[in-house]
This record gives sequence, structure tokens and C-alpha cells, in this order.
Amino acid sequence: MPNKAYAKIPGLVALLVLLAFLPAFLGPYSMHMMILVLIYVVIATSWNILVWTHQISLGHAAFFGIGAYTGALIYNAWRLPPYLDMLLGGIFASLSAVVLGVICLRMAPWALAIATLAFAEAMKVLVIMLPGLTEGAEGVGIPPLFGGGEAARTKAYYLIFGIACLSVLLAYTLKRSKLYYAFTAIHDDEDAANMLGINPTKYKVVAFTLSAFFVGIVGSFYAHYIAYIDPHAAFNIHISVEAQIMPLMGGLYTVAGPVVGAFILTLLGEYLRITIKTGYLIVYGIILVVVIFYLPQGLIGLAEKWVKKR
Amino acid sequence: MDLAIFAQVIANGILTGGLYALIAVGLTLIFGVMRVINFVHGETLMLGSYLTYFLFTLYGIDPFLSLPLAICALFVLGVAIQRFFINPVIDAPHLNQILLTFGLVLIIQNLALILWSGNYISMTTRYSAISLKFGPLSVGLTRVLGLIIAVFLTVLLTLALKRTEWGKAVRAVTQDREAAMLMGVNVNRVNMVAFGVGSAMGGAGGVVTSMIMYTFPLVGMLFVLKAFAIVVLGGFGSIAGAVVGSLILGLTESLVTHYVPRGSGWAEGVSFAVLVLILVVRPKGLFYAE
Amino acid sequence: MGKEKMNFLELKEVTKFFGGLGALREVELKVSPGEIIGLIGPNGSGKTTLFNVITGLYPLTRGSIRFKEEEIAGLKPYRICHKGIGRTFQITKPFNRLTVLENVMVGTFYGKEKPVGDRNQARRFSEEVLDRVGLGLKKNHRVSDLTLEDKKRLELGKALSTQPELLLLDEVMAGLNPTEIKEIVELLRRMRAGGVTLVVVEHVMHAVMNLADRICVLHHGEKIADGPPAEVSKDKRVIESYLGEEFLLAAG
Repeated sequence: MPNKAYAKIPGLVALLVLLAFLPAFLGPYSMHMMILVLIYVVIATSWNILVWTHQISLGHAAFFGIGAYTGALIYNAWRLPPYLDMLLGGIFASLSAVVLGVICLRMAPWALAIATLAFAEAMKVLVIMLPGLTEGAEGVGIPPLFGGGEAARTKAYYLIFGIACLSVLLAYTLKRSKLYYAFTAIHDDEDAANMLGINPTKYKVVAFTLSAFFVGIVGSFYAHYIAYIDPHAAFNIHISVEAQIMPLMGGLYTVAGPVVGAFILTLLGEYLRITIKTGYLIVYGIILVVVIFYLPQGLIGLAEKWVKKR
Repeated sequence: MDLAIFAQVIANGILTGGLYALIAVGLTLIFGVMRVINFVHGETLMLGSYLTYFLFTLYGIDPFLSLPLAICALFVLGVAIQRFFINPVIDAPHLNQILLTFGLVLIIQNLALILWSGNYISMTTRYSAISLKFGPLSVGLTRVLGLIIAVFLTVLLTLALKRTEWGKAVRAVTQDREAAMLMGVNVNRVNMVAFGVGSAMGGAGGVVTSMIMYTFPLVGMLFVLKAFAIVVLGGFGSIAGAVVGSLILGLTESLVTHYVPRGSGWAEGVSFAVLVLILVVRPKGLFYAE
Repeated sequence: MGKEKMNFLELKEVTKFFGGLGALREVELKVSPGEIIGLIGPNGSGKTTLFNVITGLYPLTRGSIRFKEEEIAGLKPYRICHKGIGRTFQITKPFNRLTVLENVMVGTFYGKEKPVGDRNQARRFSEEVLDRVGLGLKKNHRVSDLTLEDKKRLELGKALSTQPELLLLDEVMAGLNPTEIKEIVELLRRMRAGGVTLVVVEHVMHAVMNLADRICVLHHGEKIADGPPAEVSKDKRVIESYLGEEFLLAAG
């Protein structure tokens, strides 16, 4: 795993500085878009971690929703500080990942894929069917983060910026850790990894749990930021789909890939949603197919090839 | 406990199970042969549905007669999809396959959305409203027809698997692809035909659903998850397993809908619960032979 | 050779059925520490299945497998690895996305119950292992750049990285030319001298007959011979079972 950090550091610093000063230049709508971008940076980066063990989750929205509902319901009940609330969202999401993972990760990748898809749908059903606990289909309202208004939006922006940086840092650290050896071994050849002393299920569950944690946190963040959450928004298949396409497009086995994908696709998605309206997801489908056939290393892989040619 | 009502609930469960079987059998065939997660299967149902609808509303063709047309059309489409999209990635990591079929699903679904709008549509034929009465039981004629179609096609497929050359090849490939290749089986052809047949059965499922419920672009999604749950439940490549699994699911949903308070809402989650239960107890499915 | 360690590896009535197909039938085997056992037999006689069963990849249908006086049948492969058994696979299974060195580091890190903490220590050990198997100069190569022989060496390196006491080698010489085979045989002798007990499945008859202290012959899942190479190569049943296959049973 060659270390190209030296080349990337100036670019990274520039990006961080730009992002840090963004609120000074942008109006409310653009700020809102950037907040969404950063939410997706977290979701895409987190989803990607699981891929490193050759597993995919088709229902990552489940963790988003669990975080969102945990955050909203606990906040309404006990008025905990929002940061703690968000952390709890992450913890609950991780716990459900552990349970789901232990059950499904003993089997081939497709098992988890289908199970996570079903899990997301099942969570939606659960929330709708227990209005006593969750207000059902009507959704839950909570006081807006930091009191609402434009000043609050800027604060929310810095908060999500911080969370995004942490989640990317997690991915970065993970990729350079001993754990990554286990992940990659399992990814490339699970039986061989087993024969070298690696317990595949254990490490797959670890990856799965890590991939759920920050997603739960941003779910809770989202509920606070929008001041409202309902089952269709929380467990929306759209979130799951974006979680997959962004890293795929950017580059699955990189740290920068999901970030790049999140930036491009959030903005592209918004653009499409406004212009095409119905059926705009078709573009996502086309991107998926094209990337799988022609761009398996994603955009980052493409960029690396160009750099090598020079 | 009212026996008449119980019998009705069971009857409903069997009818629903029959419909699920039609869809699941095609899926398990594809998975058994190709080991590919085929999400596009749900869309074959949707397309079969719309095809039936258009043939009926534009040309007055009765859905029953559309069945052979839908089967042929979806067979051809299935073969095409397999050849151009699935085959290239058949040896690629599972990841790529899953995401690819997911991408195809997005394309097909949204194409339907763009072309035909998201409106829920339904057909009414002369016999849509007829109910058959067997003693205390009352079942819709169209649903019974659906069951008959499901049984007929499943039996046909089972016979084909037992008696034809292709069928034998399918069973060989399902058990051990490498061994089959060494024995000279043209795995490519087997794959294409299997995908075509599976898609055709999905399309047939769509014909049936168009008769008994609404049609809309996302209707495939409704069934595909359940179909997957059934395939996992019954074991990949096992037609018998798919049939049994479908009946179990259909009956459970029916029982939950009727006997659990507010059950119709919960019934949707049944497939997930069943799926998890089976995965915990028998990770390889009910009928998986070692 | 102390009597206490006689039962280093002991297989009793090891039986494996796949549905109705009997792949192994009541196989008995005793291995002493420091031995090199050759395991031979026609294709489909169950050699690889035996390895898979010993290493926990397949569950046993019936029987017992004891390693260092401890029952290991039913344990998962990674636990069996931790206990000190390693293996290579007939078709090599390298980790394609890692370099040669990184491949070996996987086993170095995780081969024992407690994962090795110090990265530098792990790297040094892995480099030593690579030197031992002759891949020292290629440690930063990608797996795709390796020749078949190199891949076999890497397979050995990976197995050694877990510091096994018992090593199961599945057709490690298949596909190699005579020079390469000689090199591997030397390597295996050095490994035994270093304290590793070997069970070697092979089709390359002259190599395994020369190398092994003892030969076991499997046929249709049953052990039909067990003894020094000279004896086994004259055994009638063994010769019959190989009739129709092109093997030269070279004595000594």
C-alpha cells in the first residue's frame, strides 16, 4: 500500500481551508447544500469501510434512520445535549450493526446484501407500526439545532464539518492499521485468511460496526438539523443507493474516493432533481453500470493512472 | 376459533404463496445456475405487468392470452440482459455483480417512471370481479387463475429440468460449475437460457399481478425482497425449496394479517423476520444439500 | 524421539461423507514430531479432503483428530492455525491486493492467538521468512508479477509466517520443472531441520519418495498402505491402484 501522502498534503490543506471559510461566501441555500454534501461524505466514507472486507450493505439507510430516530426520540424525552444525542445515535446504530452482522456475516456477501436491504425496509415498517413509540408515519418533530435560523445553520455546518473530518480520519487511520491487513486478507481470500489465524466473522463484524457508527451519528445530526424526521425520509432507499454509488464512482479502496463521489453526486443529484424531476435516478443507474464496466477503480483510480503516465 | 375464517385465511395464504412461488422459482433457477444476485428479476415482473396492461387496454387482448406473449418477450429480454450485462461480470467480484444489477434496476424502474408515470393503474376485465365459492370459502377467480398458472409453469419447469438436455445441464452447473465445464457443458448457453427462463417466469408473475392488483413502476421492488427471502429460505437452485418457502411466507403473511392486531401493517415485515430466523438456524437455507 | 510426543498428530477413524459420497473412510494416521510424511494416491482419493478436514475447513462426519494430545476436530480453521498447524493450498491462494511482503505479514500478525503488536518486529520476521523461502529479493513485488514457482514459495512463506509446528503441503511441486522441484525439496528439508513436521501430498513420485520418511497411500478415501517408501512402492495394492495412471514408483 504505497504512501502517496506527501503529494496529497498541500491539496488536502487547501481543501480544508476552503471548506472552513465557505460560510463567509455562501448564502443559505448553498450552505444547506454543503451540509448535505458533508453528510454524504460521512455516509459514503463509512459505507466504503465495509467494502474492504468484500461485503456490501444495500440498506445503509437503516443505520441513518436508527441514528435519526434514536436522536429525536431521546432528545424529546430527556433533552440531552445535542452532541451526546448524536453520539447515542451512533452507538445505537453500531449495536444494531453488531447484531445484524453476527447473524448475517457468517455467510457469503450476498446474504448481507439482501439482509441489509430487508433490514432497512423492516425498520421502516417497525417505525410506522409503533406510533406509540415513534409517532408512526407522521414523524417526529424536535427543536431545531442551535435554535434555528441562519446563525444556527453556520454552527451546524461547522459541526458536520467536524464530524466529516473525524469519519475520514477514521477511514484513513484504519487503512494504515494492522486491521486493514485482516480486512484485505478476508477480502481477497477468506479461506486463506482463516488458515492464517484470522477469524473472518469477527473482523467482518468489526468493519460493519465501524461502518455504521458515523452513519448513526449523522442520522441524528440530520434529525436535529431539519428539526423533523419521518420513516420515509429516515430509511429512504435513496440514501442507501447514494451510499454505494459515491464510493464506487470515486474509488472503492481509497479514502479520497468516497469524498470525491459525495461532492460530485450530491450536487449532481440536486441538479437532476430540479431539472429532470421524475425518474432522475435513471442517471444514477447509468452511472453505476458505466462505472462497473469502464471505471472499476473509480475516478481516483483514473486520476492515479493519469499521474503515472506523466 | 371460527373454522370457516381459518380456512379462508389458509386459502388466501396458499393463493399468495402460489404467486410468490411463480416469482421465486425463476429467481432460484437463476441463482442456482449463475450464483448472481439478480435484482433485475423484480423488474421482469413489472415489465410483464405493464405489457399485459397495454395489450389489454390498447388491443383488448385478454391477460390470459398475453401470458405466452409476456413469457416470450421477457425470455428474449432476459437472454439479452444476461449476454450484454451480466455475462461480462460473471467472474467479477460479487460486489460488482450486485451493484451492476442494482444499477440496471434503477435504469429500468426509472425508465418506466419516465415513460409511463408513477400512477397506479389497474385493469378490469369481464371476470375481474368474479368470486368463486367453495362452501364457506370465497376466493377471487383471478387469484385462482394465478395459482393455476403458477402451478402449471412450475410443473413445466420441473419437468424440463428432469427430462431435457438443458435441464440436466442446469442441474449439473447448479451443483458444481467447474465439474460441469470439465464434462463439456456449454455453461454460457446454460446461463443465457436459465436467465431467459427465469425472467420469463418473472414476467408471467407480472401478468398475474396485473390481474389481481395495481401496476406501477416500483411494483417489482415489492416482490423482489420477498423472492430473495424465499430463495434464501428454500436454498439456491432448489425449485422445491422455493415452492415450500413461498407457501410458508404466503401462509405466514396471511395468518399475521388476520390474527395479529393491525396485522396488515406487520405482514410486510414478516418476510424479513422469517429470513433472519432461517439464517440464524440454517445459514444455507432449508433445502441446501451439502 | 520421546514416547511422550508420539502422538503429535493422531487421526482415528476419520470419516467424511458428502451426502452419499464417501470421501474419507475410517482413515487412521499417526505422525511423530520431526517426521516428513508423504501422502499419495490417485486423483480423487481424498488427499485434499483429508487436509481440509484436519484444518477445519470441512466438518468431520465421524472420527477424531488429535494434535498434541488435544482434540481439534470441529474447531474453526483460524483456531487450528493458532494451535500450530499450517497448510498450503493446491491452487495457491495469495492475497492479490497485497505485495509479497504484506502477504507474509498477514500470517505474522494473526498467526497466533494474540495478534503481534509491533509492526517493525513483524516486518523483520516476515522478511526473514521470505529469505528462507527464497523470495527475499521480491518482497515488494505485486502478486501478479510472480512466476508459478514464486507463487508456490509465497504459499509456503505464508504458511510459515504463522510459525507452525505441523505443516500440511498440498501438491506444492505441481507444475514446476525439475530444477524448481529440487529447490523446493531442499527447502522442505531445511524446514524439517528447523523443527517443522511435514505432511506432503504429492504426485511428483520421485521427489516425495526421496523426501519422505514414511509414505501413506489413499485410495477411494481409504488408507491402503503406510510405511517406508521402499516398502510401499512394492506393495501390490498400491501398484494396482495406480494402474492406468502414469506414475513411476521409484524406490529410495
